Amino acid sequence: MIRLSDVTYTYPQSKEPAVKKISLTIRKKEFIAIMGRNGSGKSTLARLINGLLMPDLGEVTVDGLSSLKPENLVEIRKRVGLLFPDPDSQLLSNLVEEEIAFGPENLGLNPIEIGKRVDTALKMVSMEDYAKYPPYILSGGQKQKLCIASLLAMQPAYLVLDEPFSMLEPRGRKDLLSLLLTIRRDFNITLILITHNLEDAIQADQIIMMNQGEVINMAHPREILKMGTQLTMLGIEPLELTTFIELLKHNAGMSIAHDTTDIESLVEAICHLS
Amino acid sequence: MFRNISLGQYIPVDSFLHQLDPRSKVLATLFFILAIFTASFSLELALVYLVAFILLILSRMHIIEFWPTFKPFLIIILITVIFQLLFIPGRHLFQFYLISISYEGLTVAVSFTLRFVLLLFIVRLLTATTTPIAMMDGVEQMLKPLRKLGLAVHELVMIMTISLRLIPLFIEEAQRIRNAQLCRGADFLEGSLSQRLQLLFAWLLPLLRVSMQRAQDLSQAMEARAYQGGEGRTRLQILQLKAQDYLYFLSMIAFFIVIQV
Repeated sequence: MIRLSDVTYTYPQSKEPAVKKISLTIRKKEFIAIMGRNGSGKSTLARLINGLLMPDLGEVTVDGLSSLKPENLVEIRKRVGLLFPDPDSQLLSNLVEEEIAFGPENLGLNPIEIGKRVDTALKMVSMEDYAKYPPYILSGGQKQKLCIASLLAMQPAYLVLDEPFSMLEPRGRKDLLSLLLTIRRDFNITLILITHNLEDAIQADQIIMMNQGEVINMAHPREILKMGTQLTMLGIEPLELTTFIELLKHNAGMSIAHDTTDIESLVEAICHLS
Repeated sequence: MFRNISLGQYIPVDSFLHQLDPRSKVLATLFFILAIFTASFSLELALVYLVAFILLILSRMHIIEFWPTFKPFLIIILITVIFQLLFIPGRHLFQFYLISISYEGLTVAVSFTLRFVLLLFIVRLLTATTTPIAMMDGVEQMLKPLRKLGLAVHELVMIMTISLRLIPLFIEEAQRIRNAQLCRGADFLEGSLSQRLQLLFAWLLPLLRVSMQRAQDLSQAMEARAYQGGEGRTRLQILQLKAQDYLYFLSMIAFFIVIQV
C-alpha cells in the first residue's frame, strides 16, 4: 500500500509548492489514474512516490517504508517502478538486454538471476527477438515498451507511468495501454497512470483529479464523468461521448446521464427516453 | 554539420572480434596504435595495413561501414597534407610557380595520411565491435587497482559511458536547433563577424540548456532505477578472459615487438 500523509513539496527554485497537503492511499492491485492540467503537480506526485523527491512536510510510505529514511530508498525504488514520458531521456545502454539489466544490476543480483529477469521482462512485453538490438533503431512504441520491460525486470509491485503515451501515435497508444492492462492482470501489479486523456483513464478503479498542487477529487471514472464541462476547466478534454451527450441535452433537450461511457449504453439510454 | 561523426556507434554482428573480451580488445588496440606510430614508412607500415585487413575480416564488417567515420576528417587530413607539402623543406621534387614541393614533404604527407586513416580505422573497429557498456566494464576492471589510491573508478567510467550515449542525442539536438534557426532566416555564413558570433551564441545557448536538461532527465531515470554508484552493483555479463582473448592481445603485442625489431 502507498500512503501519502499531508505531503507538501516545493521545488528549490520555486516559491509556490508543487503539491500541497496531499493525503491519499493507493491499495495493491488497483489501477489509479492521476489527471490534471500541466503544472497541477502530477509528475511531482509520481517522483514523491518513487522516492526521487522527499516531501518538505508530511510523509510518503510504500508498504510501510518511509521515503524520508535514506536506507529505505533502494527498496522503495525496487517496489515502485517509475516510467518517464520520453523514452529517449531514460535509455542509457546500447543494447536492449543491457538496458533491461541495468535495474537488476543496481539491486546487486547475481548474473544468472539478472539473465532470467531480462528474458522474462522481454517476454512480458513481447520483445524476445530484440535482446541484441540497439535501442536507437526501435520505434517510439518499442522504446516505451523497452522502458517498461526495464522496470518489470526489477519485479516492482507498483508501476507509476508518467504520461507514457505522450510521444506515441493513437495506434501505439492503444497497444501500450492494452499491454499495461494485461501486465496488471497477469502479474498483479498496481498501475498508477498519469495522463491527460480521459479515454486512457476510463478503465481505472479510481481517478485522482489534481489542480494547482491539490487533489480536488478522487472517485470512480463514472463519478468523474459526472463533472461534465467542469473537466474542461481543469484542463481535461471530455470524452467524445460526453460532448455528444451535452449536445443532445442543449440542442434536443434529451437528458442522458454523463457517466455513459460506451456507445451501447448511450443507444440504450436514448431508446428508453420517453 | 556533425551528423556523420560516428566514432561511438556499436554495430551488432556475430563475429570473432565482437565476441572477444573488451579488455583484450582495448589492450590490443593500444598496441596496434603504438605499432601505427612506430612503424617506419616502408614495409613495416605495409605490414600494419595487412594486419588491419585481417582485423577487418575478423570483424565481418564491410569497409564501406567505416566511411562515415573517415568522411568528417577528410578536411582535416587535406589541410594538414597541404601544409606538409608546402612547408616541409628538403630535396626538390616539383616546382609550380612559387610553390615548391620537396621529396621529404611528400613522404611526410603520405605517411601522415596513411597512419591517420589507420588510427581512425582501429578506433572505429573497437567501438563498432564492443558495446559502450562492455567497453566501460572492461576499462573499469583494468583500472580497478587505482581504486586503492582513492580514485572513483566506477563513477569516472559511468561518466564516460553516459557521454558516449549522449553524443548522438547532442548532435541531433544541435541539428534541430540549427534547422529551426535557418527556418527563421538565420544565416550562419553571411554577415559581419559580430553578427555571426551573435547567431552562434543564439545556437549554443539553447543547445547547452537542452543538454543540461537531457543530462538531468537521464540521471533522474537512473536514480529511479535504484542506481547509487558502483557499491554493491553486479553485472549481467561477468568478464572472463578466455583462450581466444589471450591469443588476440598476445598476438598484437608480438606484432608490435616484431615492428620494433
